[in-house]
Amino acid sequence: MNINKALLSGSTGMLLLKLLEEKDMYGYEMIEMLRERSQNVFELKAGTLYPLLHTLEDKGYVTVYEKEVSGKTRKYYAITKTGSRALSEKKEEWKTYSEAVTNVLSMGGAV
Amino acid sequence: MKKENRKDCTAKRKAEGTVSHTAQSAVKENISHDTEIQMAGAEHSCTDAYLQELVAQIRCQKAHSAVQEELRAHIEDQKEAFLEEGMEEKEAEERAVLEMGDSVAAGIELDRVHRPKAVWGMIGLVAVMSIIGFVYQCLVRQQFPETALSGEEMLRSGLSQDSFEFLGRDAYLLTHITAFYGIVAAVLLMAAIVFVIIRLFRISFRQRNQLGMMMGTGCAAVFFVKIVLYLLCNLGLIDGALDCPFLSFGGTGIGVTYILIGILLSVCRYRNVLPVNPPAKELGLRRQKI
Repeated sequence: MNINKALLSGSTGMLLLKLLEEKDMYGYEMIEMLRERSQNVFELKAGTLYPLLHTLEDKGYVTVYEKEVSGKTRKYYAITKTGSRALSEKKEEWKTYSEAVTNVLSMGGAV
Repeated sequence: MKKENRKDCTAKRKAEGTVSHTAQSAVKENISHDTEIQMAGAEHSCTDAYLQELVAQIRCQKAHSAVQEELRAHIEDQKEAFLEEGMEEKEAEERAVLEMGDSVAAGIELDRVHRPKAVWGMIGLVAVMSIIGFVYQCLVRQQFPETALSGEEMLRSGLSQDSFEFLGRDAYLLTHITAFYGIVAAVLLMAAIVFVIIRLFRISFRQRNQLGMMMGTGCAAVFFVKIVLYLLCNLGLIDGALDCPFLSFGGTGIGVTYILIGILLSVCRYRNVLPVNPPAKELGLRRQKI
């Protein structure tokens, strides 16, 4: 399913933070999880994911640490307190926005 | 053989006009040069071609190895998943690279993140402290154009107005401030300096690069020790002519202060650039060279 990129990019950060709220993950794991949760709607490319993750880290929303799992050293991302706060703010924003969109769309039901 | 292969690659890359198809064509290129690649070793696998093209967009060289490592791990994970689905080795790798998306676009995005930061907050803080120190020094020099000697004895003999004649010297500035501007001013000034040092410590601890963290913490610790000693000296608990960061105007003291500040600013500037740990490969290479 093809979805407009602009619609996705603003909220992808929020989705990633949501995933990290549950547990620490590495990049590949996040893409898989996102695909699974969204029933294949969000097929996030790694080329989009990593710049986003690094931006989130720059903002202090996530931290990185290295961990060795079954012989592979992986970069795990973990959400910070600032990140959790930002997530709940974003959730509120999203709720208001999506409700507004739904309202507007349902008004034009006669067409 | 190897040379030929390289020439071929660069020629093909030049020929490629459009940005979005570069990764895909890199894959095709690898298919057509199958046998040559095997002979040239892993150097020209499509993973490497992809990573090199991506990393070329990131202007800060220091960030390259960390980004490469992370993305390589990702490609490998994806490849393994494809292998499990029953693909062949080569096909799996090519598909994994395709799954990554456009290398140039990703590289440009990453370049935006991994740029040395201009740390205006820190620079501003240092500038404010320096100006306060400078203005204060000017005031002191106006008050006491000529510096008297043997300040310590005079201080000990009692804090009369005359006994501050020596205070053009840097060791007892805090005592001077207390006497002339009141204890509140002295406490406020100390609070400001302590605030700066706490900030320096916090910044240092937040460094994910280990070298940056150690250097930052070291510099901050030097400042901390200096302040504590200066305070003790001014309270008459220990002897010794010390200097206070920002406040004193002694040649060595000022030099040391600004060298340390310089190191700290540099640590801040490169916080997004350096990897968590120095990559093992690079260390290995260096050891071999030695």
